[in-house]
Amino acid sequence: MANTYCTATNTGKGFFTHDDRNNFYLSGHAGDVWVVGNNAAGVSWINRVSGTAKVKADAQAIVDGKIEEAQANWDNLPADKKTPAEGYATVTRPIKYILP
Amino acid sequence: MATYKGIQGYSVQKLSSDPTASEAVGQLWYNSTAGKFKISVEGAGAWATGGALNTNRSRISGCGTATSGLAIAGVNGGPQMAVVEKYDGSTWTEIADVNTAREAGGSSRNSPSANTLYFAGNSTANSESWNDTSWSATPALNTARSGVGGAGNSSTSALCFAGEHPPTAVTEKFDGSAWTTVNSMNTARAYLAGTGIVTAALAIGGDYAPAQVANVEKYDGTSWTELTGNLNTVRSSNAAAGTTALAITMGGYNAASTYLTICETWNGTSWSAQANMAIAKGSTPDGFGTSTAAVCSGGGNPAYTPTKLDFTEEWTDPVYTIKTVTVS
Repeated sequence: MANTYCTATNTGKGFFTHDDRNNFYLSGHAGDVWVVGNNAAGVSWINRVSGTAKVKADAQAIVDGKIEEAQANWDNLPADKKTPAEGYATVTRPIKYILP
Repeated sequence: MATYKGIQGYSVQKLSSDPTASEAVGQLWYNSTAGKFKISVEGAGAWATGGALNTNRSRISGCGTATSGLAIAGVNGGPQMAVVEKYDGSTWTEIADVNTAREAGGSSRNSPSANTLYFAGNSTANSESWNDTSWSATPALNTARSGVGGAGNSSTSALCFAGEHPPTAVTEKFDGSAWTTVNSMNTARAYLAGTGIVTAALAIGGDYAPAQVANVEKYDGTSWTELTGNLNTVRSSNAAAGTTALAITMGGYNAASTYLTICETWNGTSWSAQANMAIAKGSTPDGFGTSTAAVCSGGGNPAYTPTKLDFTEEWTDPVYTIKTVTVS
């Protein structure tokens, strides 16, 4: 299994270091979900940041829930806020995606 | 008893504490406190977390170095903001507000945090200078606009290029007294990233409705030249730092409106993909520093609530690390 999953609060400086990033895969997602490379350094990082381990399905459900919340917020925006100014492709409804 | 010198034929320094990793690359020593052999190694560039902004926002402008930078103005779903924060390499601290709240302005990107210029934004021609204590109005741009690129190295030397509405290629230069319109860019665009100084600037990516552009242009103090080295990932609303010789761009979003973690560096000839940030940041996050020590902060990501971020990531290239040596 290439990745493992957890939730952890980003505490700022030192939460993950340059060395961490060179030692294991890491990506952050809505709901304080982190996808972590499944090696000794990654597992050690989860312990260091007091992360709560999640199976992939649970991590995905957290992210999906946050995106649904963001979609609802976007749906409630007035029409002029949903239309990209001058046709710029920059204002979009959040889209669900699959965690790596 | 066998000694290391006896086995390997070399003397090894005995130190009570580790030296600075960057100053000891390739060296081996014995840490007498830890009772272990150590080496310092050079690794690939990587992003680490920095201190969070006090105010979540996007469409920020900035300047400075990785240990002394600014995040100027922006927006967070409501009215435009006048808030300005200063980063010391660990913590963001709020300092004096700009006089006119706005988003998507530009700045003298390569100026020190104590002496910069903030201009345009919110389709205005406003320009303000910072002297490390307060913001003062300076002469207005000739063309009001938003989503501009900025370059420069002080409050009296700045370049403002591109922007909207509609997408423009107009370029103006500030000499401390007035803004003067100079030669335009080759490709009109908005929400691009700019970096450099008035005699050597880069315009990186950007929007030209309905799609983003990957092209990069270089200003030599007189005219813009389209570079043959395009970005590998098309993007707009990205951040950048560095010079025309060595630069970095990060974040933004692409044609599919995917918010990007992707980072690329420029070596004067071509762009190369580097290690990604951990968190995708579009909507013009703040960016400043150099190609080897940069900061990317704030910006937007629609999957998050609020959609405007406070996260900071710090780029270092290379990364020096002290490792413990296992002797078998």
